[in-house]
Amino acid sequence: MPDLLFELGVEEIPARFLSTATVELAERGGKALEDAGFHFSDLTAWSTPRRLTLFAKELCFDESRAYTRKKGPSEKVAFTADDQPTPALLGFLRKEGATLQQVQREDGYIYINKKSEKTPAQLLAELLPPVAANLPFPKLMRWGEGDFLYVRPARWALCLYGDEHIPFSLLGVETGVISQGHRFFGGPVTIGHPAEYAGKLEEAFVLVDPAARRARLEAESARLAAEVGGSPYWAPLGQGPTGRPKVPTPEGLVEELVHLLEYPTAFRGSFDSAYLDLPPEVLTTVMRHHQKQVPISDGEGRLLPYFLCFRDGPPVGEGIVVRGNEQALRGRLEDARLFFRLDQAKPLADRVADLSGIKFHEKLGSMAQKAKRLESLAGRLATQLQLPPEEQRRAKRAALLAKADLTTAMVSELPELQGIMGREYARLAGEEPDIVQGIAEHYQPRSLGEELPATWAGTLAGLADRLDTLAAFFAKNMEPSGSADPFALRRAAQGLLAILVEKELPLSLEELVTMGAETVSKLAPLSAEGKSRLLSFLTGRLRFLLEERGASFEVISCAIGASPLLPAQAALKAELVSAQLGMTELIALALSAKRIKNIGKSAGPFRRHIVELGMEEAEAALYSALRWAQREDRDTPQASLAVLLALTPQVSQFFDRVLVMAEEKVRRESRLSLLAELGELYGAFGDFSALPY
Amino acid sequence: MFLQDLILTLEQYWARRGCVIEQPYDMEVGAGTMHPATFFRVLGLRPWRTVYVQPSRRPADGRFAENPYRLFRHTQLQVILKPSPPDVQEIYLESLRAIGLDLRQHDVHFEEDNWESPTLGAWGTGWQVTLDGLEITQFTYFQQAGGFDLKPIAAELTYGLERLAMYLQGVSNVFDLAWNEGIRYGEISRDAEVESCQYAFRVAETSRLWQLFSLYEEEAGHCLKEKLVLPSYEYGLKMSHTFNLLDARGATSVAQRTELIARMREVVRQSARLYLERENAGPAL
Repeated sequence: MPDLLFELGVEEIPARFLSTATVELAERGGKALEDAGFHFSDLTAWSTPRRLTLFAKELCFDESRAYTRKKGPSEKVAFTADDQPTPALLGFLRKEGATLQQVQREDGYIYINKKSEKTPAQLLAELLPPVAANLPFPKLMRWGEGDFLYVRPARWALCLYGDEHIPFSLLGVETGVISQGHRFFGGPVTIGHPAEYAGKLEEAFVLVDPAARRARLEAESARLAAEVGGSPYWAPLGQGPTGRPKVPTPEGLVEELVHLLEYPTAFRGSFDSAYLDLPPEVLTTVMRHHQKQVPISDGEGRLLPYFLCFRDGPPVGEGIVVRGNEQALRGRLEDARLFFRLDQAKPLADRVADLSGIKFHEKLGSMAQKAKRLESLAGRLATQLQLPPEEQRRAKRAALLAKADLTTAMVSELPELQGIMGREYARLAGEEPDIVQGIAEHYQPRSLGEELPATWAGTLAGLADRLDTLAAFFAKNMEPSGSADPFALRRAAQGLLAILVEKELPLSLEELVTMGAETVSKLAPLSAEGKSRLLSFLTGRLRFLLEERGASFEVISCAIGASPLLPAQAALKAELVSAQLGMTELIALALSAKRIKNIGKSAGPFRRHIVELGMEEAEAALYSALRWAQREDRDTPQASLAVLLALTPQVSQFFDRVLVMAEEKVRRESRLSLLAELGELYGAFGDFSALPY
Repeated sequence: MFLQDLILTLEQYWARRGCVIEQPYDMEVGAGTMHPATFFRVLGLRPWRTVYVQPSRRPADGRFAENPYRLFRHTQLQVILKPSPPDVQEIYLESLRAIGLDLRQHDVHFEEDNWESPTLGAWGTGWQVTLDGLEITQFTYFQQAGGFDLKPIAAELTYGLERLAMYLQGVSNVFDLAWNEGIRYGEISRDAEVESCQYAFRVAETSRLWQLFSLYEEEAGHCLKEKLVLPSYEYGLKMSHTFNLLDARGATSVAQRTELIARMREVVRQSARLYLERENAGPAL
């Protein structure tokens, strides 16, 4: 069976779009083929910066799908009493271009089976253009006469079904049977048959499969680094993977290079080891972000005075390419060294005042004001957590200095280094080690799964920063809506909650919202309604966080059901309840919680009054168990859940044997009161009625 | 290759491809894009091809001639091809061969870089072209100018002449560039660099610059009332340079910047609107 090959040649597509585009091309291409009645044994999408390719192996057309069934008029309308075709039927047949012989009768109606007049080649020519032209690129453009809209100008196209050329046009280009090899080493490549595509292009110095480019890039990099006793330093410093599921390892640069080069070749360059006196993050940022070069580190994570650079094409011109890359790197490092020297002329603490020149946001004052707020908020948080005075002092200092590096030349030039430069300049200014570290750490975690601050100073400065930001933007009604989150408030909330949960800090969302509101009160008063919106926003983000940790929707509803809501406790409760799922006691607990809730709803108002005299046996048993439970130590979620589970036999017996809605008013109210107290005991842990039983 | 030969070669190369060799604009501009030969000519339907050198002033980048890479005034070579031809990348790459680069020995690739100028109400998509890891050209498909959608689309190629020449000559300090066989870059521009920086960073009287900004704005408005395209735009350029000076002095806050940019954009947008009105009223193509 013949294979299908479709290639769209495009001027260099932005590297950051290619991964998604390739996946989408395979999905949409496969679906479009299947919908049109094609089968294939395998389907692959490939991409390079200059092309998007779809390859379907052993594509065949399902002949039965070539027929479409058309329903016509009912038999009564279609035929006269003596079974002659009526004008209505003849009209229908004429419209469909069918004959009387094709008419079938079924369920009182007439049908015709119409064979599609389109050949498989025609179907392909119809279905492929929209698949490629409608790929979801985040930014589109026009070119030339401006008639087409695409990620970059389309320049050629190729389509072969077996050895048959499928002609069609899309985005202003006509398909042919000629592909393009490497810009400088390839030239036009005529493809006779889909199966020879990848091989012929490889001969023309294009590796169409991103996985092949990645393998080549990584192998060459490792070899060149090993020659100088090191290894390629792909991952950003201080941001190692934490082993948590769903967290991708930070490998943005490999990915980018794979999508930037059609035939990656690595070379090794070197630089003056005097530059190693700069903070390592300065070197790695300049290399990775600005030069697309890869640092080389020794076994202990120290940088070596070498780097890897990459060319597109076979390994020629090494001396020239390396010299150019060395010169470009030297220029940037020289600049960085100058900034590093200039910045030290003014101690970091003196820069806090300069923050008045930098706006936090148009409507939210300056960063200098924010620094002052962070100082006081970090202090309050430390008090709330009953930390020793020393820690409180360090937290306040770190919070005050946290943003000061925004005024330095290095951070203006290399914004990625915010926090890192604050740390370096604080160290050089003789600040205490925990404060120095806290300044860098207060941005952590930047993303789900990144390490948390290790110091109290960094933890509290980070909490204060996020809480201040959230409260301030909510006060101005600038909160996220739908997919729009221009001030990254979701990320701020995520970081805040991750710290509370992972560090098990006994702070409730309610008290945090109150503190946040008080902090920004002079700048932007947060209304009662604003506070409740912030609280429910944070609760929503907590749900998301607990979901990431593996809890189900119902378990989360249970775990966040208590008020005040402590994220650290909610996370623990979610784990505890998850572990009990399916156990008899938990099911009984959940069912009784539901009954209590329903009875409470239907009972209407009643006087809270438990009368021991005249209790039935099961009622008395529950009463005494409840009193026992109320006296028990329920300080931790573990203890609390254990007590509740221990109650379940008495609770079940009560519901089995006692009629709550007794005729006698006193009895009825006593029973309702008993259940109300039990419900409150449950509610102090969470909302068990949310569990799926 | 001497700097002046680089200029001559590139101008000749593009002239042979139908580009009009325009002269640098005789006013302070921050980039070749601000030259009317680009800003106005990319608007409307008429085809247009031009090449010109444009000395470009960026006060905040000035370093008193002490930094080997940074300049108060650098030099761009600007090419406009409207509409962008289908082989625009190949023609551009051919220009690199024309200045003596063997593209198999060197590494050249196109990395995404989208350009925008809030002041000009302009943006485009494209790349920075890197040569052995060094950015040498900004390659942009203009999508909007003066806030107006463009059709046809022009390709704008901006060569950073100093960078390119430094690389070709293997020189690590811009002031050591050989302008011709006898004269170095520093001999021509060092004094101007130092003085311009002294003015921009130390001497400029900010209160007077604020006044000038408003006066230029008023005069631009006056010109707009009289439906004068170029004079109103030129006062917009004066506002822009005055703004850049204020910026270099650190005299503008973030909020003010936004406001000042909006005021400049309004002048530029009105000039562009007038230009389009006149162009549409003109003889059919």
